[in-house]
Amino acid sequence: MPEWLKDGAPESDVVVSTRIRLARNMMDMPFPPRIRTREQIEAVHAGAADSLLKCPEFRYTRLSGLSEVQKRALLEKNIISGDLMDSPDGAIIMNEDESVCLMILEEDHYRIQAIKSGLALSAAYYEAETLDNMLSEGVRYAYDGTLGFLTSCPTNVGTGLRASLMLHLPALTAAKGIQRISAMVGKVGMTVRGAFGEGSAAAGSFYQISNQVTLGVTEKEIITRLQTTAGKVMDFERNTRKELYRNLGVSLEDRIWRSVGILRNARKVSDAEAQKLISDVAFGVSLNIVRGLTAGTLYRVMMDIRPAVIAEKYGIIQPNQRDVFRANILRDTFREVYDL
Amino acid sequence: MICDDCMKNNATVHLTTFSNGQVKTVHLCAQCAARRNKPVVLAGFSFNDLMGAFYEAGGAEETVCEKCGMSLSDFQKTGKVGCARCYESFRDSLMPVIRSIHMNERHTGKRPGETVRLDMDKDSEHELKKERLARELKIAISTENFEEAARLRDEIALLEKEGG
Repeated sequence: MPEWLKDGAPESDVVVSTRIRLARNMMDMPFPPRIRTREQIEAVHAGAADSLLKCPEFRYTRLSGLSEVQKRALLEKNIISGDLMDSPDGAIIMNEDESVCLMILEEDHYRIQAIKSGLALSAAYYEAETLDNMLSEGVRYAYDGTLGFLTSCPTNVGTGLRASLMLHLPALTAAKGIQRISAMVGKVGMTVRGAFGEGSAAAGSFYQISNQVTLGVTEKEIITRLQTTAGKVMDFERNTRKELYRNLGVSLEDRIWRSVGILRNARKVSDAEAQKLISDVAFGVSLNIVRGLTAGTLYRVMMDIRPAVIAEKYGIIQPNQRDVFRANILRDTFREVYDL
Repeated sequence: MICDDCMKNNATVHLTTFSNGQVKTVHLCAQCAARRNKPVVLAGFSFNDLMGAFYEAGGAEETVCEKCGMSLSDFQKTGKVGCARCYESFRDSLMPVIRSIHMNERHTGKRPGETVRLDMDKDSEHELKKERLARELKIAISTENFEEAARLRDEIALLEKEGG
C-alpha cells in the first residue's frame, strides 16, 4: 500500500497526487544514449550514491537485481518510468515510503522525483530540491549559463523541471469537457494526457496535467502556473459534477450504486474494470451519494490492485487468479460503504 | 482557425516542424493530427512524441560532435543529444528547435545548488516539517539510534503543540 497516499490531502476530491521531476546530468560525461564504458556507468552511479547514501533514509537498488514483476510494480505505482525499466544499467535510490527518489541512467543521468498526495506542488518541489541540492554537492552538473541545466532531450533543457498533477475528472469526461480542458491548458504551455493506458479513453477518467515548457521560465513560475491552471480545472470539474447530479438525479445515483454493488459482490474483476468502478465510487463520494469511504482510500486501493503490484505482494502471477484476488481485496474494502 | 488538412474541423493542435532550415507551423484538428503523427495523447501533444517531426532531413554536410562523436543525423533520428557539448556542436540546428518548443532561449531559473523560494502557506510548511521528522524518527528507531529518536520525538511534540 503506497503509504504516501494519505487521507484528507488537499483537494483530494479532484487531485489524486502531485509529482515533481528534475532532470540532471553530470558534467563531462556522455549522456545515457551515448554512454559506453563500465567506468563511465560506474562514475554516474557513484556520484549519486556518494552524495545521497550518507543520509540513512535512502536505499540504493540496481534494476538488474530486481525481477520483472518487481520492476513492473514500481512502474505501475508511478515510482519509476518506462525508460528506467528498460535501462540495463539503471538504478534507483529511494526513501522508505517511495515518495522521494532518484532514477539513475534513465534518459538523463539523474531524474529526481518527489510525489505527494493531493495538490501539494510547493511541498513536492521542496522535497525534490532538497535532493537536488544534496546531489549537487557531490556531482558537478552539466549546466550552461544561457541554456540552464543541459538534458538529453532539448524538451527538458533549462530548469529540467516537470511538474505534474494526477487529476480525477469523471464529470468532465462524461460531459465531453476534456477537449476544452486540453485547449485551455495548451494555451499556457501545458498538456493533458490519460494517466493510465495509452491513447484514447483514459481508463477511469484519470488524467495527468503537466508543464511542457522548461526554458525561459523560473521554477516558481512553472509551479504557480500549474497551480492556477489546476484551480480552474478543479472548479470546472466540481461545477460539472453538481450540474450532472442536478440533471441526472437518481440515474446518476443508480449508476454509482451499481458500481458499488459490483465492487462489493463480484468474484472476478479485471484491472481496467476496477479502475472504472472505483472512479464511479469516487465520484459518488465527492457528491456525498456514497459514504463511509474517503477519496484517499479509493486512490490507494486503486494502486494496490494493479496487476504487478498484486503479483509482487502476493506472488500471484496467473491473470485469472489475479482477477479473483483483486475481487477479494475490493469486496473487503467496499464492505463498509453505506447509504443514508 | 480551420484545420490545414481537412479544411473542415476546428484546429486544436499546432504542430511546428523544422525542415531545411525553416520553421513551419501547421494547424490541425485532433483527427488529422492523429493521422499525421501516431502517438496522439487525447488532444494535447507530448513534445517528445513530436520531436521526430522537428528534425527532417537537412543539408548534405554531416556535423559531428567532437566530444562524444554523435552526428547531426543521429540526433535528428533520435531527438536526443549525446553530451553537454552537443548543444554547442549542433547549435545552428538546435536553437530554432529549442525556440519553437519553449518560445524562449534563455534560462531564468535556478543555478546548481541554489534554493528557490516558494511561498508555501504556513499549514503546508508545518505539515511538511512534521512528515520529515516522522520519517527521520522511523529511521532513527530502526537503526537503534535512540538518542536521536528521543530528540526527534521532542521536536515533533513541540511542533504539534505549536499548531496542530
